[in-house]
Amino acid sequence: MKPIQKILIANRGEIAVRVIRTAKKMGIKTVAVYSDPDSQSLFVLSADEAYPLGGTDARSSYLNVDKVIEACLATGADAVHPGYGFLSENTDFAKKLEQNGIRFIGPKPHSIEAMGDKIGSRILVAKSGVPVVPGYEGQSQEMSIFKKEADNIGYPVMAKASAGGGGKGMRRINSPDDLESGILSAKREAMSAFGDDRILLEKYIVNPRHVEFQIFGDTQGNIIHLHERDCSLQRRHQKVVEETPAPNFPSSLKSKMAEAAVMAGKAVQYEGAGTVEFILGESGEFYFLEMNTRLQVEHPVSEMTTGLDLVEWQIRVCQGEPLPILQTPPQKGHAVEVRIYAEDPKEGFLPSIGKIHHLSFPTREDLRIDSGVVTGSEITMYYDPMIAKLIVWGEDRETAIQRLVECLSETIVFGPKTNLQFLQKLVSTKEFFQGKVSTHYIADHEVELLKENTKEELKLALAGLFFSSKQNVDPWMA
Amino acid sequence: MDFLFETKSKPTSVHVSGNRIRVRLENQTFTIDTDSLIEGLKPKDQNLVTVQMKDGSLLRFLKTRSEIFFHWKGETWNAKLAERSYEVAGQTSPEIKSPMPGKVVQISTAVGSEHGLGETLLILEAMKMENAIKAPYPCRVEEIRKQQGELVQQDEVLLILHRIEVEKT
Repeated sequence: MKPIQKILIANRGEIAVRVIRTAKKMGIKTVAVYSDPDSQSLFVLSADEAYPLGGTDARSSYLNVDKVIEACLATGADAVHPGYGFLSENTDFAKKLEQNGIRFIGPKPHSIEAMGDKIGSRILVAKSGVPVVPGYEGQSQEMSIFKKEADNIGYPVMAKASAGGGGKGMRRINSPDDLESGILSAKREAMSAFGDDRILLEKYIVNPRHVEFQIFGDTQGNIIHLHERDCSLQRRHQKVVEETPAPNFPSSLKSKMAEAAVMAGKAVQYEGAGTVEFILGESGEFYFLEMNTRLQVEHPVSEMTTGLDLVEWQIRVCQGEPLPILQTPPQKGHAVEVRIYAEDPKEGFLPSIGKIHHLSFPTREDLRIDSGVVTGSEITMYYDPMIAKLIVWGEDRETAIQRLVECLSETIVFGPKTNLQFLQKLVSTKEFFQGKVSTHYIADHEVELLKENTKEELKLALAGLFFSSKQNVDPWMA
Repeated sequence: MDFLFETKSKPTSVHVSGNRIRVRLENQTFTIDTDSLIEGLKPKDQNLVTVQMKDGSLLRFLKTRSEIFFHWKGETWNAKLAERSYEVAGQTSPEIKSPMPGKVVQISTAVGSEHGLGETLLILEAMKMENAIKAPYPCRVEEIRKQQGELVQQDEVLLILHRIEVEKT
């Protein structure tokens, strides 16, 4: 297969900057596509060429398949890297690229399709022997059937709307006495939210952890895993902190889960970078959750501990090359990633838009910053308000966490409100340090994580002093 | 010198006098002596002014037109000057300038009107916040340079006043 000459990145911000970095290293030309508000963005300025998509919001620009394909044809790009999010799991886009003779740096459409459907993928991987959450997803919606199935699964159980998403139409049911009322209430909510009141039952996993495996496949049928990532710290199903290796993770459990992850990849003849997500119970039971058929936001922690460049691997696999190694490489040290957002934790984490008057990070060897913005950039209402990902490496977990706390406290963002202080508190908690957090941890501890440190009057006093210094009365200046 | 800051709950006033700062927050008053806090000014670091505090920590700050940002001990916050106090806004100058870019939403005076200290002359809207421009001294309005609805830049002259001497009683 002919080597790739020019890659168009069908994404924006931090993601596009990340892909451009590797393409440049490999001597491949890059094309950025951009919407109107992004015309002066860092990723647009970093690429060799830039092509305007027009439009403001994602729908009228980055998500517009026809416009992106038109950009490929106009710039002569021979491959597209979709980044993560946007069109990265859109089979229609992948197929259209193929029809136009443009390579899609990602899995084949059939793998994306197979993993895109929650129930379908569950049945598929279960067939190949991967454990899935025990449950009932039969046609019958009879209460007597639900009772029998719930007894089989064992309480507590979760009633989930079949059409559900985003936590709507979900009820935890603790005992047979609560079954009927729980199911009826889940059905009512599902009906009003989705117009479909079909319910399925799943075993409720108490205080679960979210552990996922990075897998990689090539066109020759090789699939390996590149270790796990623990992403248990989440807020409303959005990951907040990610790390590798997972803490308190026995090697026997790790090898069982890794094997299951590779099996799940083989079940769909996977090519390229993918992630198999598992839910891990308190007593070490684990179940397949879903598979993401793309590179993920948190891939840098895997790169920092293995020394690999996963975007380079994606490009090589897309060119038909075999995986550079056919066995899982050893991991060195520990890496933790946090996502810095322009948001106001005190206002329910509402996005905080506006100009970034100043942005600076500490510079040190064990720190990696993936960011799409700089001082002077604007956080707009049109896109995800991520400012940067901060990824810290340490010889061991304790060192990595200590360095992370330092790096967070030395990161300065003036302008929009950020979650920086919230993150500092979060990674400083005893529970996180001991590796004893579940996916519910943030929700259960939100109040203490949002407390202010500095007294309001001290802040105002400092403000008053520095404002007054404009009048040339700095007492310490003389 | 008095400053009025915009806070979550209520406007808060800060009085600066020499090295001492007094903060009035709701019904409480706090006094802070800057000498016990500040060691000295450090050279500029990445465009931010850096101040060394007595405990060795560094305070970094950046001023923009109507806002000031702080970073200290891992915390970031900002203060907005909600309303210029009359002592700051021009002192005895006859020209009343706009403290920030904004829009004139109300003119509460007319040429020839007389006003006592602190009476509202004009209301300026900026960042969806209304800011009252008040009489800095007892005065008579000589000239109104802007109209209602007009957009103004920072430091544009809004009004010209004539100072009236108050009779001593």
